[in-house]
Amino acid sequence: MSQSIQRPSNPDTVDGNVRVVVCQGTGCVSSGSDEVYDALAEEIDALESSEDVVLSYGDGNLEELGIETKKSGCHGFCELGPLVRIDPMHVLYTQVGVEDVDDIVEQTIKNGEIIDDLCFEDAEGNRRSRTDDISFYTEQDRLALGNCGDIDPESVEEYRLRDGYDALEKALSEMDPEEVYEEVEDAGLRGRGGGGFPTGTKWKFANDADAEEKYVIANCDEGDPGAFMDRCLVEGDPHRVIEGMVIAGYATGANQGYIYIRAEYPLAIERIEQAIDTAYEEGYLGEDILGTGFDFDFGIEQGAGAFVCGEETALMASIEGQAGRPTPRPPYPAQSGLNDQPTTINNVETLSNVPLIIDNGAEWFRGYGTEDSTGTKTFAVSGDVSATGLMEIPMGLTLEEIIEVAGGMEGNSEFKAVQIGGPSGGLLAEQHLDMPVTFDSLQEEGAMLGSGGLVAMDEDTCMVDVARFFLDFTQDESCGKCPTCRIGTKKMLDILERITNGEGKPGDIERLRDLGDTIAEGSLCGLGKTAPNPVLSTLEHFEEEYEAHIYDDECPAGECELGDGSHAGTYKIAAAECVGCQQCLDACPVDAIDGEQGETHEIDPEMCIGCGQCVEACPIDAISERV
Amino acid sequence: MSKATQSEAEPGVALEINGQDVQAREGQTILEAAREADIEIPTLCEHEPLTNVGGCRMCLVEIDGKRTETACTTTVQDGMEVNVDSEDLWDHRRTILELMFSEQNHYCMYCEMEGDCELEDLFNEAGLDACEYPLEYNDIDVDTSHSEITLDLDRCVLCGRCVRTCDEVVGNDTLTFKDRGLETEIVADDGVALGDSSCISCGACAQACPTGAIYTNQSAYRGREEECDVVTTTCTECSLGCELEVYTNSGRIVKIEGVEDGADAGQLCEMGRFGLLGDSRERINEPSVRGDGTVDIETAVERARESLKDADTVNAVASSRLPTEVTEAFAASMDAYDASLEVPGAKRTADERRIAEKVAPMFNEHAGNLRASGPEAVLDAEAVAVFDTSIVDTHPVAASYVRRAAKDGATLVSVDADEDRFASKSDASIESGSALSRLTEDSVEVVEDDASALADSDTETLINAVPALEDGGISIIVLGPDIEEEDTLINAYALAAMTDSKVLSLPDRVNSFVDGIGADDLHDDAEVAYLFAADDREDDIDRMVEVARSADTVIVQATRESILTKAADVVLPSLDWFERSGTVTDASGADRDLTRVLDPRVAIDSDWEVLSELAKGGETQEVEL
Repeated sequence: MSQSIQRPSNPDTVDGNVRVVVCQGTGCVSSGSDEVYDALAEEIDALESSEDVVLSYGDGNLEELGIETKKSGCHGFCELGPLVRIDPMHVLYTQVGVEDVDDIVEQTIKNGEIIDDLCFEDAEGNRRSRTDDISFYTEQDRLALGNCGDIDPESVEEYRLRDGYDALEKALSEMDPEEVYEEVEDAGLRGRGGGGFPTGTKWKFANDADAEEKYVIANCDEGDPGAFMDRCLVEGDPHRVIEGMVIAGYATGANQGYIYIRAEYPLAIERIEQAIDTAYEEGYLGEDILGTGFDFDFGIEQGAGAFVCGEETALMASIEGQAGRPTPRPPYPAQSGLNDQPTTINNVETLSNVPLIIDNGAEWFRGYGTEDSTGTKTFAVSGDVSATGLMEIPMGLTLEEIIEVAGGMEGNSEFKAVQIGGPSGGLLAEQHLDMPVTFDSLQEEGAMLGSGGLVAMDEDTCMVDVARFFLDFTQDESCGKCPTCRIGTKKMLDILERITNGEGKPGDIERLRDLGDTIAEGSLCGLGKTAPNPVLSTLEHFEEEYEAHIYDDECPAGECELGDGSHAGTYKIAAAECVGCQQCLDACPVDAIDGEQGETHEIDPEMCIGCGQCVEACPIDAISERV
Repeated sequence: MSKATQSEAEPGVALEINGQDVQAREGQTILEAAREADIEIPTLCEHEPLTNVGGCRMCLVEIDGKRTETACTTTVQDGMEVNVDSEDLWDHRRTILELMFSEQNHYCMYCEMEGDCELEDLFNEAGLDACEYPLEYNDIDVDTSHSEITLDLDRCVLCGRCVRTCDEVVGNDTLTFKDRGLETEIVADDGVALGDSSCISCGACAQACPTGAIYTNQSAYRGREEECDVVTTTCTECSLGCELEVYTNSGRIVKIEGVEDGADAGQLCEMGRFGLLGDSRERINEPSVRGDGTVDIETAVERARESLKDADTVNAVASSRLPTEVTEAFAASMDAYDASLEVPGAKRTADERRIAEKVAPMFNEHAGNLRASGPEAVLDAEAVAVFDTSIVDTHPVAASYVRRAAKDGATLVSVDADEDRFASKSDASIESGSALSRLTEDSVEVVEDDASALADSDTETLINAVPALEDGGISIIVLGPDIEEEDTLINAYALAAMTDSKVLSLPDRVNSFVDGIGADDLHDDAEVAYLFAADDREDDIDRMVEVARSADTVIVQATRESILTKAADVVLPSLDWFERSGTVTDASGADRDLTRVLDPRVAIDSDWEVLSELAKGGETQEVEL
């Protein structure tokens, strides 16, 4: 039964018109939302100019408001794109194709009727037509992403309508640099790229440094697989990033800024290029900004396919034209960075928060999140949840709450674990479901917030394979400068590959731990130091899965294809049942069994000749044949 | 950590290393402080003259029980407690070494470097005697394309010392890293064979390499360092006089290395490192006389003496590789026969002295000593003008100083009649023969009369051509060996005076500075030509051949056979470079020692023997030796 839409009495949209907003983020574009936009725009433009069309919504019509088709940045509800939203009613249509455009115009726009098939279907099977009724939207606090999904990222006018560049004006004309960084310090803003370092303090260090030339750099290298928060920010609201940068420059005494953006983000590059050009034209960049005497120039530097260039020193080397290899710190960038000058490097999301803090004040920002982790955090949630996509929620929500916002686990899957922080991060398991997610709480658990990538996993996901997957990535991205990471990650990967292929050997777990320890302790940069995290973390929470692979030729999650037959005919002891009586050990003619009295015994499949004496000897039938 | 920072370090940091109290200077690294306190920290990618990168992780130390950092990149702080030898640290080192062992071909048995290898030493120190990882290496083809240097990169540990040496010490940027991670490889230029690359064959990379990944062909498999005797002497291949460490084994020279704690950081050059080893011409053991074959010294000298006595015109040319004492003795001997003596470069040096004294005050009353303190002065210069860029071939180490200065930001201007050999690094290339040196015609007249004519518009043009020289920073004018025309010399010294620059004169070799000797004009034709060729080779003997052709009787005193000795009437033996002792004067004006490396196995024990015999029959008194 079609619902009808009520016309709100006080239309509240960006520019006061009815807006048919079509998401033009990379995710939706890859599903054809650009074509949807073109088709809708064509039809809606035709509408407006046709005099005998009466637009009706419920009990009124909207003749006195204009209607326009608008592009926007990422809404975040990426699993269900292409997304079309009609404001101010907040009607949301999902998975819209070009073939749906006629219906949308005829039924919804002209007649105010909802098309059920295009609406989001929740876990109970109910169709929800408005974002106001969809928890994915209502549970978020979109601060950094505030404009994404609403405004046209190519329009500085719309940015200004949403208080854009007000903070810049306030900072430059009413505050001095110390007041600016103190406000950011008071707000408790911490680096959103993963380091969690207090931003205001970082700016203070740079401001204190005495040098002729200082720099600010926005780090948009975003290399974590599955992370796309910064991409959306730059694609969806590039002026906010620019505004944050100029304020950062002012606070630190830098007159030159760069955004280092990975080459794999062509749309983001296009949007920021365009925004920079516009900002120069409008006087927000260049000389004597807004007549305050402050100069700031902004350039774009592109990456060239190296994850390691997200690391500060490698990033700066790359900008200088050298190969992106990290250098030891100290000296830290704030003392000696780009071209040996004091440099402040901030993550894009961190910068996107800055104008809001300046505009609304530190106290306001502290109203979100927890005492130590103020504000909000964007998360790119993927994996076995119903609504994979991009969300922004206050710091301090529990893991369980976050998964709920993402629509809960998909279908009938049971929660098993969540990988957080990308290849540098660790796993959180069932016991962490009620843990509030903040910088510090995660660190205590040996995990890391990272840049906000979050992969939810159900019982069909093999934890050993997860470790292997992330290590495969890190190993490929190692710069090669220090042998610890260069070779160590490869050896760890080799062990994991053997294990997931059914060729695990006794001692592999100890080897992984030892190697992991040396790599974490002895690597030159963060990439190496954190590379073992997925392994060590899965070992901590899911060691029994490793053991099952190695000793039982079993993958509990059913993912790995073990037993390629290479150990067929040999025997294995069920680790859970073994009581350590030594009977099999004594019976074995080739000494293939290892174990202390009272401890679990293990049969080395390489040495076992398959004679079966151990099977005879075992008093509790804990030994069986491998296939 | 740059070298400059270290020298500016001030006193006063107290820390503890391995429980021992250590007094360090502010700005020093933990590694430096430890070394001065005789505490050893294992290193691999660290190398004295190079910047530290903290890449190999061997020097990891525990600081304040809290963090682990590389000692080579961490500055000392007051109150630091550093542990170098904890069990954990050695476990880590062992693991890392084990990883490195599995990464490449580190079977020592077949390796040239065995016994001298820093990696092998570390394996032993860490007690590594087994490797549990599968051995898998990239199997890179050995690069034998270069005549002197071989790259066996399956033995490379990617320490980067060769890359940093080629960059920071030699300034040539030939070697670099290609790709990343486990695919990382050392390559020449953008991946060409070393023999086809921009390599200038100095061999500094081979000296810097801690393993057998880069080695030199002439020295490979000739003996371990501990089996060799080492003698330090001075190179006589150019006027820089680099210090040489000559390794000998069983009476043969095995290899030559540079000394790393000077400005040249041990780089040497193709001539000094390889050329001196590679002379395969036949040695002249005994004297000979045309028609009579081999004779004894007295007979040969007698024959020479007779020709000289009877001659009215005698031309004499001395090798520019001879020590001062021998040159002076030769000059005295030739003087006895009223010979005209030419020593390459001597005339130019004499001209320079004269011009400097006369010209400089004309352009700058306060022009004091215009002479640069030495070649190292180029490293600190803010502007460098090089007249004659062939120093790239003749004085390669000085050329490396010029490149390093340019890389550090100095303005570089080249003036050359041919190709600018510094092309990619120079800010301006001026062809001599262009406006700058056409002015010299005017300059010459002016020098004879009065300087004021030059003091107006021409001066402007002169200075405008090399504006950086006037900026007020330290500037150096380098004169390569091909500069001989008085005009260019006047030009250069005038320029130096006007812009408060110093002149670094790089004449041919080591004995052109001997006062008053060798600047004579030779006769067009002579009855006798006495050519003291010593160990001159290849193009060096061209001049002597020319002089020989215009003489009736030719006497040659040489180390090895050549077309010169084949054409001579009398051939007398001479010492080779490694047999000589004496003194030479280098380009900074300092006296340097030549030390005998091996005893001669020829008919003479010194060149003086011959010269003193020769002097006996002269018109003047016996020569004082």
